[in-house]
Amino acid sequence: MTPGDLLLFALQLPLVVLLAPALNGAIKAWKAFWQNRQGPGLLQPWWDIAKYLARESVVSEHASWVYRWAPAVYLGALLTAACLAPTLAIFSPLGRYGDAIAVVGLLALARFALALAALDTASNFGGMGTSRELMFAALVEPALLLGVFAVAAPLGTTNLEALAAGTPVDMAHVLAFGCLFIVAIAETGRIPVDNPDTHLELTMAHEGMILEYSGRPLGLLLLGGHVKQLVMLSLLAAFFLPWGSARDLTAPALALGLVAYVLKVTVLAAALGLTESLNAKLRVFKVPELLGTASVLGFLAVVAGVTGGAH
Amino acid sequence: MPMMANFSGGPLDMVALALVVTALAGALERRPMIALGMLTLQGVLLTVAALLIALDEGGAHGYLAVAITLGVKVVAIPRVLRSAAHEVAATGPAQRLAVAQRPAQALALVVVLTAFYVVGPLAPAGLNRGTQALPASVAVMLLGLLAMLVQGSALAQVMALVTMENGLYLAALTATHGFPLAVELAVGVDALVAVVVMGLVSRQIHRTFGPIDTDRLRSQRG
Repeated sequence: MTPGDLLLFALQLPLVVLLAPALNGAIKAWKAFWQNRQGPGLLQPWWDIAKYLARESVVSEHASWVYRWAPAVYLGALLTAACLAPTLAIFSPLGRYGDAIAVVGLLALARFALALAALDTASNFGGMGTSRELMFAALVEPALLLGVFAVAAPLGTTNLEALAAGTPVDMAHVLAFGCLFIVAIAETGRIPVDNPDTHLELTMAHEGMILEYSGRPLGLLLLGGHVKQLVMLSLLAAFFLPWGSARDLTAPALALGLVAYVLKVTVLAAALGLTESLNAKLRVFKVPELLGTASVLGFLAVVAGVTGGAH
Repeated sequence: MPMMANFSGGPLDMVALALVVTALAGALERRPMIALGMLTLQGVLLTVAALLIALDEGGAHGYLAVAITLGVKVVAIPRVLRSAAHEVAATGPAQRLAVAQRPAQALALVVVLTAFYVVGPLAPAGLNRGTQALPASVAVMLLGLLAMLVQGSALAQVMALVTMENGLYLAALTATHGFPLAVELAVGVDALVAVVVMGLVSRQIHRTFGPIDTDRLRSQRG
């Protein structure tokens, strides 16, 4: 760990933890605008999390240690992923220790922990939510990897810092963006894949899995969900919108990078919210078609990236 | 611009790629109003492209081209098609494609990639206009052609024609130092007149027969 890494740690970790809930609040406000209603304030997700963290938790007597440890593993994996992703600079605190595939692995670890916990209490809703979430995951992960490979292939590396540093404007990146945007929708559990606003049984995947939780573990899970969303948006911003990211660790560059980063993830979040407002939720059995489209886009992006690199 | 330094392509490249994206979104669209929105967006992008070229070339001529592009592609053509699209959207069901939607989408993507693969290595001699504009214009042209082949309704076919013309226009903009005013005017007015006539005709067909599915015209053959 160099002093630069520690400085980035000190900046990025609080930034992610503070920004992630606010960004979710912003998406909610944006959706409320499109539905012609007065939404909750931007900071509402913060207050929700603060409230849950202060409450005691009710745990089923049938639950095992898996259930108690899952929220910590979930949040820990996602915060680690958030420290791998470049945010306000093209560097990231853990950038020298892991690459894009590590991020995909950490997302999978978080999902695995949550799936085990949801099955642990043997509640029907948890089981149903888990089976759906894992079905989506089996389709989302290849698409995510294909999108990452499309960006990585011309550069010959999966190192996130290298990917954030150089982005040529070409068709491969357009297709890869389409692919990863659909992946972001699925990973954040948004319409048309899942509905984040309800745990009615017809729609729920992610919400079904956390239904049994209450109090402090629920607060951790909610924060984890917000961080996951920010990680996906940070990856999109780093791959496709590299404007303004700090290229050295001086104060002016970092300040500009911070402003640019907040602006970029806000724009991407607005795009997510708009997609959500303009579309209807897909039936569960139609979701694989959408995710298949993402995979096709990713595959064609890889093809375009590899053939485009030839000339 | 230091902030752009990490991009290998210029603004024109981005506009060209955005044009391909709008053409992709519009080509297989079955709802007329959304297809029309995409067409208008293409007009806006072409105006931006013309503006970038005008800034690059200097001289009043380029700005005249911007004005013509704005007038024809953003204002006139969408306005002519708007009432027809409104009528079709209000009365008819969603328009049919000759090919199922998903294979058609895959075909569209393959067409785009082929255009980029084949035309990508070519660059207009003596012009520094980035590497994406020419393949993008060919891709938009081919997408228009594909749309004309698979779209069932007359109105969508008119829009497909305009898409093809947009691709042609981008190629003409980026591969030359601006063409003579007479040509520029002729191209603009030509396309506009064609769209007016076809818009009116497709509207008339719709009023008289309901659906404007061109397949039904086959039964009229002797």
